[in-house]
Amino acid sequence: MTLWGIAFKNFWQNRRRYMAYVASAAFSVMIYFLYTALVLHPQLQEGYRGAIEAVQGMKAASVVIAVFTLLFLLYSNSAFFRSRMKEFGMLSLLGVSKRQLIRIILWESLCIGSLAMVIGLALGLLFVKLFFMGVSVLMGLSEQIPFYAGRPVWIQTIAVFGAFFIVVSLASLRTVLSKNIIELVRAAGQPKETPHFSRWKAILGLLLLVVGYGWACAPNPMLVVLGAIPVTFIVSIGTYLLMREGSMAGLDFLHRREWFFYRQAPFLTVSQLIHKIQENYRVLTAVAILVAVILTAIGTIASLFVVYVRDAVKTTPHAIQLVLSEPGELDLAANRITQVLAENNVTDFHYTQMTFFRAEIDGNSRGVTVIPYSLYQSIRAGRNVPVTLSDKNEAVLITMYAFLTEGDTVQREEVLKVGTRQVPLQVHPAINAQPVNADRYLSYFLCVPDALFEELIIQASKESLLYIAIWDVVDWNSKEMWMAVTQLRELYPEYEFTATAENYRSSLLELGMLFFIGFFVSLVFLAACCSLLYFRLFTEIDDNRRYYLQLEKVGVSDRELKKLTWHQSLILFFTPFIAGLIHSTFAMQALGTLLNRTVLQFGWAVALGYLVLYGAFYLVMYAIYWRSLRVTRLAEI
Amino acid sequence: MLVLEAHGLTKIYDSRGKVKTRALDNFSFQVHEGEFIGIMGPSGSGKTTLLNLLATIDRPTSGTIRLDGVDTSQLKGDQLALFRRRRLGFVFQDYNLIDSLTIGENIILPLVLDRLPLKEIKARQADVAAILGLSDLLQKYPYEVSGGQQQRTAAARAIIHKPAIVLADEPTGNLDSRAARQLMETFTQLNAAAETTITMVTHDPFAASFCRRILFIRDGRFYSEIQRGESRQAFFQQILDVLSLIGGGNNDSMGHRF
Repeated sequence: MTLWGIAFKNFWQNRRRYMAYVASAAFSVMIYFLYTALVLHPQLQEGYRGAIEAVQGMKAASVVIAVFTLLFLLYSNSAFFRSRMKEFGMLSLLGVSKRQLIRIILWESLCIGSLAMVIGLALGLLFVKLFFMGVSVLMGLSEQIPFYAGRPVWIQTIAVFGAFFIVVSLASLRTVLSKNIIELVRAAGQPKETPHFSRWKAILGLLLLVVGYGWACAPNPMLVVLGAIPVTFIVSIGTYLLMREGSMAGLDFLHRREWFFYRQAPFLTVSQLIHKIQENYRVLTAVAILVAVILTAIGTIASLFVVYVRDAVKTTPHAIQLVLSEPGELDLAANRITQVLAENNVTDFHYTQMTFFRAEIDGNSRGVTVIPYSLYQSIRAGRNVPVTLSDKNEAVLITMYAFLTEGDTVQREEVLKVGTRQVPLQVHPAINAQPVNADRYLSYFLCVPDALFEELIIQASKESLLYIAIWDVVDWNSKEMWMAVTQLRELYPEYEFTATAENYRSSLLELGMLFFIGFFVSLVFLAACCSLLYFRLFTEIDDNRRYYLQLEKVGVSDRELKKLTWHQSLILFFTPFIAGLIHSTFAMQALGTLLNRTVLQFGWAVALGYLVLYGAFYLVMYAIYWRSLRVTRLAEI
Repeated sequence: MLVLEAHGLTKIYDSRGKVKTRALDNFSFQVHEGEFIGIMGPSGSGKTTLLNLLATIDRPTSGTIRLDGVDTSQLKGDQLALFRRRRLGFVFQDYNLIDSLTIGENIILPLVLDRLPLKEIKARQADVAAILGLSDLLQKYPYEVSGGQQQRTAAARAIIHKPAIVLADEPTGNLDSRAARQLMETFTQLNAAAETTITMVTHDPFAASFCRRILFIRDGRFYSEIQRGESRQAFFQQILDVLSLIGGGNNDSMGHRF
């Protein structure tokens, strides 16, 4: 047999182990290819509206993917080679020289790398159209982005991953060559000692988690922001401690509960988990943290998506709004807008015209827009009016968001200054209840009783008066409306003219894009999680085969063995997922504090989606694992 | 009472080429309750094949095995596993202990598999451990004890569920001479005191000399049978004589054990 033959035979003998490696590498190649195709798309270079930022985001994401992929490939490759130390040891023992060994390893790496590349590129080419369709829908583009997979995309993907595969194969060479023969041969098959654990470390881990979770639940947004980094750190360490010491303590507890332990399933499963904890806990920690990162990141984006798109409508309640400071101009402009609307077949609208004025209060240096309470009530009629005013000296201060440093959420005394007059007021806070479209200048509204408003507007200076015209349209997001808004945007600057459709669409575009990018990056992370677990199972397959054979000889039936495998792999896979889910739940709670509303449901919806993906992967993996475990069956010996 | 009745056992292995190997050829024998039988023969004589057939982990090409009144060829899949677990006890050359279980846990494995009540499990564990001198080792893991102790653990596991028959495959194969003697004395004691029926396959004449009766097998066929009298030393000499007739023996190195 030639050296080539040996290399090929190696590959074929280990094909199941290679599978996860090749699959995840190919998957990364595919994702990278898709991203690059989008980033380098000629049409996006010219720029759809808002697409430039999105492309920047994509570029950043593709760097993240590339770096993460490299780390992942390095890790999985070293795990893979460690499980094959004995094989290389045997080759050396039989007289294969170092030079030949290097050649075998390099050839093998070359084959695997090319295979992953070919599969990845083929899949990429297959899905690029679908990918563009998805992007188009999420960005709310009226036309689909046309198919594109030009030469630069291929060159960039092949160059980046070619370099990666070279780095990885050099790293694997180092792993093998740094050991001498005896170390290689001995690497496998050393009897494992039963691990010991420290109860204190387990308690410390638990304490760290409690502290981290407690901090994340702090009601004060300021505290939450300050906690972001320390809490991540604390929780990561806590997870690490709990995955080893904590699960050891738990398993040991179960081991000593005789009524529980001395039954078939726990007897074999618990003892086996204890036996393997030393090898398992690092992977479990890594997967738990990765899952937490994925769920939190996507949960956050999903929450922002829902919240901001919904807020876009809330902060821009009127389909079209024009704000001018000269009374004469308003009629003229109003006629023009009505005309443009008519040209676009929008005739079913409700028109209102009002006068407000700007003033100052102590607590807000940026000034407020004063409006009468009746207007506030009428405009928000049918919706939940947060505050009712009873006294002449009461007012509602409406803010877009709760800012962290200002006491916008507490009731307080303020003095309103209009011209020379100073009016003391009892101010009630209200958040995100804009009576008219908010813009850069119109972000704080002070809503006072009508009588007071009438008194004050006379005293207000001419320059502080604002003339506002609004058009309410039920179907504000119709195609006709969008045409009209696009035309009107050309005529008026942003501080005069605002439209719901525009605000809504730009939020959708930005966050939709973010969501899409985030989702794809998360898929790479998820694939990494899954392959980490896959490797965990497959590095030990020889051990496990022996174990199952032993049990089978003693008379454990096939069905029972299957159940046993199912239990053990289920625990291995879903412990970290559940841990990650709990972490991300607390993170979402913290996000809720920041956004001043509950977002847990979005977090859980996202988690459910990932659970389905993860579960599907688990089933596939389990099927492969069971099959390769049963390659040697007792009856065939 | 007959515990084991093998009739006309034939096993033909189809290797990938055209050569068919007849590992076992029309082999018949019987084991009565309380017997301690050895099966000997040179390597390649088919004794391991025979034991695998008896252990129900392999099926004969033709012939029948009645174990404890059950025709094992009628059992399928899970029934077979259950039968093995309840009616048979095994001692293997490589001990076959589960690394992740302590000595005490390894011993009771068959009982736990069969969902016996905890009280019963504990009681039998104490009994068996006492008989085999393992009482002090129950909390230890297999890698922490010697080969002889591991094999005694395997023996304890083989008898704890009171099987109809204990099948031992070269049980002394991995043991030094002292540990081997100890193990065989234990087997003798189990056979005498607890009336455990034992069938052991071995090529070690010293180990075989502890049996009450020995069947010799050669090229898959029955060769001869000898019964033990009062003296084990005399029996050992008898065994060596038969082996030298069969040929292919490893009988020259064993004399020094006396």
